Formats: sequence, C-alpha cells, structure tokens
Amino acid sequence: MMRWLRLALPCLCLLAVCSMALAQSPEGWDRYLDKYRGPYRGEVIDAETKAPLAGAVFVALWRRDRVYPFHIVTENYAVRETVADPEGRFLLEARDVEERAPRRTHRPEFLIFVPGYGSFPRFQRLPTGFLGGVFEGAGTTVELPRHQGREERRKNLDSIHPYSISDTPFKDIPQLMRRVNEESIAVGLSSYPPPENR
Amino acid sequence: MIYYAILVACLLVLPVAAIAYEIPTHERITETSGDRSVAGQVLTGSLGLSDGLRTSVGGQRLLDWLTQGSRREDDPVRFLNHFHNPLASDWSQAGLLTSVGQSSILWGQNVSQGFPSWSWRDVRQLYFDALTRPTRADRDRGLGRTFEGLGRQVHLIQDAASPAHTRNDPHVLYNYEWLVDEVQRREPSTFEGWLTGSPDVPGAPDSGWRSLDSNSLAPVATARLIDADRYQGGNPLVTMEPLIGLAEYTNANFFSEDRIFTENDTNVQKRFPYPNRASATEQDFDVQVGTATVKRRYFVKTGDGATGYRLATVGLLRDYHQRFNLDWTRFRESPALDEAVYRDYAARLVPRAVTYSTTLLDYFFRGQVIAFGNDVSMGFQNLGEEAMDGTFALYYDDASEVRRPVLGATWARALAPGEFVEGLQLSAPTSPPAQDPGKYLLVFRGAMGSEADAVVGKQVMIESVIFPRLIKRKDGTPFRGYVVQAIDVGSGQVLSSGLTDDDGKARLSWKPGRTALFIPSVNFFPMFWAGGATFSSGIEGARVVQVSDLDPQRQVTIAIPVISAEWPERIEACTERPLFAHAPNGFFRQSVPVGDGLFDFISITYGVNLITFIRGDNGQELPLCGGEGSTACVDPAAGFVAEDVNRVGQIVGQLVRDMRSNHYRQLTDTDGRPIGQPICLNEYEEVEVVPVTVAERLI
Repeated sequence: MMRWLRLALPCLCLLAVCSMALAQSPEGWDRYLDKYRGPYRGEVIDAETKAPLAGAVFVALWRRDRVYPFHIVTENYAVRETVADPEGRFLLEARDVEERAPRRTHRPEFLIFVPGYGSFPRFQRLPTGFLGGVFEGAGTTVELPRHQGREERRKNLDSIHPYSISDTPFKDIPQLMRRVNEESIAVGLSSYPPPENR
Repeated sequence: MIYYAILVACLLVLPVAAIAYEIPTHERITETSGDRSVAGQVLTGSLGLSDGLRTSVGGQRLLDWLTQGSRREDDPVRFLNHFHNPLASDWSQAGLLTSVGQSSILWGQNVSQGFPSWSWRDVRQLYFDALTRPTRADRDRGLGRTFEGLGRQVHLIQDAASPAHTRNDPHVLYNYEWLVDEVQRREPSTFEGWLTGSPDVPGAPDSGWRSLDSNSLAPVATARLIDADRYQGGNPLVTMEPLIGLAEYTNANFFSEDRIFTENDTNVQKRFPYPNRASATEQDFDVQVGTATVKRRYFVKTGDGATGYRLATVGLLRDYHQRFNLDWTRFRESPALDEAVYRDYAARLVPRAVTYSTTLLDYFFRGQVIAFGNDVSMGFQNLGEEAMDGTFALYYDDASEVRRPVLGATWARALAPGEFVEGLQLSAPTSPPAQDPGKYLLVFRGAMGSEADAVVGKQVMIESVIFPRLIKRKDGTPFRGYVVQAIDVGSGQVLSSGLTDDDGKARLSWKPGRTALFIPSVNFFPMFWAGGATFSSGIEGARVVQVSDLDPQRQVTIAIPVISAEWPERIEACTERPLFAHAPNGFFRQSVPVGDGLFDFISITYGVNLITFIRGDNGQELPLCGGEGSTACVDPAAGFVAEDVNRVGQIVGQLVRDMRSNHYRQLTDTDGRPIGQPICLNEYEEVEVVPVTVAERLI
C-alpha cells in the first residue's frame, strides 16, 4: 500500500504542476474564446441577383482542445444553428454556449448552407480572404453563388460532413439535416437516414 | 524498481504534448485525397456503385466514413503512435521518444492495435467482408469500415508531413499544425491553394516505392510512403528525388518547434543533421505586425535538399553570437518558427500530404481484373501492373440480396501482369437463382506484387449460353438458317438472337430461369416455345427455360410441326375440277388429246368477291383475297396462331368464299376449233363456307 502511495503522490503532484503549466501557456492567435464573442449575425444573398436567401441555415460549431500527455485532441464542444429570415438575415446568440465554455474552447467555425448554392466557407463569392470574426459585431453579408450543374451541387455536398459537426446531427442541427437531405435527393443522392433508420 | 520506472515515464510524459495536423485539417486533406484517388472510379466501375464515394452505407456516405477515419485516428491514446523518425536505427526505435509509442509505420501495420484494430491487414479484411459477406447489412458495414480504416491509414501518412512527427518532437501549443488549422478555418482560399499545388517538383512519390525491399517489421509496401530508407542523415539531396518517404522529406528539410538547428545536440533524441546552419542563408523580409510593416530576418533554406523558403526566424541574439563568436551550444540564439515560416512550410508539406494520401488510396484500389467469355468457357485476366497469385472466386446475389459463392467457381491461379486464364467452366447458379443472372462479383485474394494479402473486387458479366436446336417434328431434319431469340420473361427484352446452323443449332446467351425462346419464322406466325412440341403466341404461355431442359451439351432440342391449312374442295361434275378453288380472279385452261386430231378442252374462269378466313376460337376474320387491292390469295394458315401448332388435325376456323366460276368443256381439233356442241357450259355463283383444318406438312 505504501509503495503505491509513494508512486501515486508524486504523480498527482506532477499532474497538478503540469496542468498549471499548461494553463499558463501562451495561447496564440486568438485561437481560443477569451470572452463572449457573440451574437453572430449576417445576411445571406444570391451572389448574382443580390436577392436575400431566406431559409439559409447558419451553423456555428465550437470545438475545444483537450490536453492529453503528448497530445492535444480537438473535439466538438457545442453546435448551434439558426435559419435566415425572409430578408436573408440571421442572428445567433449562443451566449449560453460561450459563457459556459471550458478552457481551450476555440472560437466558432461557421457553415452556411442553402440548397442549390455553394456553401460558406468554401464556395462563397464574398467575403474572401481572412474570415476570422466576420460574423461578430455588425456581421457581414455573405454572397453565395447559385450552383446550376448537378455535379457542382454534388461537389458542394461533398464538403459537408454532418457527423463531423455532431455525433447526433438530427438532434443538434435538424434544419441543416433537412436541407442537406433535400439537396441530396434533388441531385440524385441518398439522403442521410435518421438514426432510427440507420 | 517498476514504480520508479513508471515515475520516470510520468516525468517524460506529462509536461509535454504534441498535436498532429488538427482534426479539421486532416479531414480536408483526406477529403481532397479521396476525391483525387481512383477510389471513386473503382467503386463505380468495378463494384457498380454508381455514386462512387457518395454512396451511402450505414447512414453515411463513403466520403464521410473516410474523413471520419482520419478524424478518429487521433482518439486517445492512438496518437502516441503517430510519430516516425526516419533516422532511427531501427523502425522499432522510430516512435515517439523511441519507445513511448510505436512508429506510425509499425502502428499502421500492427494487427494488435486493440479492438477494433485498424491496421492495413484489418482494412483489407474489412474490404474482403464488404465484397463477400452474405448479408447486405454486413457488406455495407464492411464497406463503411473499410473507408474508415483507410481514413485512419491516410492520417498516418499525413502526420509524416508534420515536422514534429518526424523529428521526435512532442511540442505543444503555438506550432505549425495550429497555423495550418487557423488558415484552414479562416483563410480557406489560401488553404485551398495548399491543397491543390506544390512548389516542389514533383511532389508525388515515384511509383518505384512499391518495389523497394520490404522491412520485415512492416512488410506492406505502404511503409515506404513514409520511409523509403533512402535518407540516411548524410544525404539530404536524396529527399528531393521523387522516390522518397514523406517522413524523410519532412525530417531533412523542415524544423519543428523544439528541433531547430539541433544538428549538434548532445541528446541523440533531438539530434537531426539537417537542416543545419549550412543549409540556410539569412535574408530580410517585410512582415506585417498588426498594421505595421517591419523587417524581420529569416534563415532561408538555400541548400541540402528543398530550397527557397523561410526555414526559421533569426534569433534576437544572432548579432551577439557573430560579434563575440559565442558557442552555439552554450548560448542559444533561439531562432524560432513564426507564422511566415509555417506558411512556407505548409505550402510544401500540405500538398505532399495530399499526394501521398492519394497514393496510398490508389495503392489500396490498384488491382484490376476482368472476366470474359461465357459459362461454357470463361476466363479472367490480370490487368494490373503487378503479378497476382492467389484465389479468384465468383460470387452472386440471389433475389434476397444474399451474396453467395458460385459453387465450383473458385480457382487458385498465379497471373503475371496482362496474363489471363481461359476455358474455365461455370455452372450458372440456380438454387437459389441469381437476382440478376449473368452478373457476378469476381473477388481476388492473395499476393499482389509485394503485398501478401491483397483483395480485389470486380463486378463482371459472364453470359450463360444455350444451344436451342430446331428440327422438324415429322422427320427430324434440322431447320437451317432460321432465327431464334432468347427473351427475358421479366422485361420482354431480347437477350440475344441467333441463326440456326446446318445442324439446326443456334447459340444464345440467356438468363437461367428467366428466358423464353422465340421462333419468329419457321411457321407463318411467330411462336414461343411452350415445352415439348407445343408453342404459344404470347410470352405468358412460353416455357421458361430451365437448366433441366438442357442436355449435357447445353442443348435444348425443339421439334416443331410445320403446319398448313386444309379445307375440302367440291369437284364440278363436268370439268372434274374444283368448283371454287382457293384462287384469285383467274382462269384454268387444259387441253388433253383424246384421239387422232381430237382434244378434250377445259376452260374455267374464277371470279372472287371475297374469301375470308374466320377463326373458330375468337371469330377473328382475315380476308384472304378479293379485298381492296388484293392481287393474290393468301393461304388461310396466315390466320393461324402459334397455339394452332398444338391442334394438328383439328378444325380451327372456316373459309367463307363468295365466288363465281364458269366451267366450259368442249372437244376441239388441233387448231382449237370446237367440234360439236360443248359437253358442258355451267355457271356457278354462291357463298360457300368450308371448315379449315390444321395439317402438318413437310417443307
């Protein structure tokens, strides 16, 4: 018993010291959430006609780093979605997510999906360049190009992996799943079956 | 003692941590390499999955499974095994800090990873399951997991394009991988550029990596994608050749955060000969700091392998070092890797991660086989670039989508590239029959090139053939030059068509249990064989040909009665000729000598209003002559149907003849002049109804 104790105590001390050391490590590039950064807002329009894209799904995904010996594993922490109004505007509060976020939670990643359009952040016409923080504050206008060809639309779907966003996408991002499935069927692909049908 | 060892291990482990490419980065690289690989083509062209990587199995698309694999490979504690130091004395020593984890190469081929295990061999087994498991659900599961496994395999390749993973550097926090991830998320167009282009030429491995000597610790050739054992620590130029492992290229040309200019480090774990100070020259660059542009001095890689990019920043103490000739090892001037350096690195490493990942996927799906011929004599050919030595087997799906091996269709063969075998016999499965007769999956398992246990699948069509032989029922003589067709009873489509040869035989491809035989022209009317010597006019009455109908030579002999119509004729008493012949408007003349200069002359004229054949079973009428525009009479058999063949000797309808005739008989001299009064001069006009009987005839 004593021998185990002799081992366990130093290890526990090391763990504590290590955690403190990591906690004090510089966290570069404003990678992590330092405060509540929301609400996230913007407007989605057709890149050609400039018409608002009502019903566009705006998804925010927060990942977090979990520190393991020799490694940091990035895992999903939370996901939220909202749908653009008839003027193509969306607003996502997410205060609850960000204010309760554990340490090393990344600033969110965003996805905007409209059936028949190239999605954000891969295929949008605008904004381009550095996209960090574009939906913070006053937000931004996102111009999505209409995809005409079936192959182009299929390619767009290739970039969306619902189970990478959430282990339970039908529960967490139902609007996105509904539209992804609509688009899948429209371009001749199988839809994602709900869990009970998998 | 063991407790102290564990304690030491904790000391080693706890204060440090490293990250590979971030999970989203892995996903993007994997998605891109999957898209570029032949995987989609193989799924479409070889396995009949028309949506390729977009095929859904188990609730996700195969591309999702692939990216999921690359994501999950970083699960605790698998990541400990994602390092490979190409300069280690032995691959067993090439893992993180020598022994904390296995070398990524060994890990990728370790069948004892845990449960489940995702080694190359395990993934091969999953693929074999995907091709051969009986139930659709199990096959789908196998296919999904195959792609998850491949995602895990390419993750290991991608980590070899991360300097820390090749330089034994468990660094944490601000590092290369973070920068790449940040760019991936916030500057997608920049990241897209990294994915699609490499400033290095060629950037993709030479295909010779497949044939390098294998290492007994990790015999599958994919090990050579990470470490070709060509860079030995003193020959960095070799890393610019296309035949090089990715870890070798990365190790020799890039720094990781805690392995910068460590060519003289006393710690052998940290000592890497290249890049070294002689590999770089110093140069100033404008860099953006906030809104200001400032000059920053960098080491630019100018030799010893890859060149033309920022290798590290020059440390702040650099000037003092030079001025006072300080000992590098005692007074570190602390060069560092900043964002600009990382961007230069990523522009070279990310595209290689993509091309090497693509190469691995292509390698997995490299096997190519085809099958040809028919079930009487079939064969298959190795169309790949490597020899195949193993088992070739055919499988088929029954109506319930249960996949079954074809009995007797397993062959052990060794085929050089391009080589084929032929003349193999195949018994088309009938119990249960195939869902899609003629469609098989040819599955190879065995050695292919240097890989001991490769798996290849190819959907093939192997037509089944039969030889219908048509003979006359009356005398057994063959029908030569007649058309016979095999008709799919499900779709009504013509499966094949053939002409009978001198022996009455035609060669047709067919689908056992789904084929009827159609004989369009032996009789006046088209007919389907209905079994024995019976026939039907519609496919619904046709015999569905079974294997049991065939003799050992795959021949089915069909005896066909050739039929014609018969009906009674009335003889006119005076001329002794038919009163109303089945003939169009016309005449009959006959002059027979009956004595010296004396002839018996007969002249008959026929006039037809209408002759009609009326079937007895359905009252269907067929005008035979006398109708508008008709010039000749048609045989009443033209109104027959195939079922009439089964009614030889029976009355099947009647002829209704509305006719006139004029019968004249006279003795004449040699010049045709009448002698005396006519013997008879009779005119007839009436509607006559006579029965029509089916008769068998010789032709």
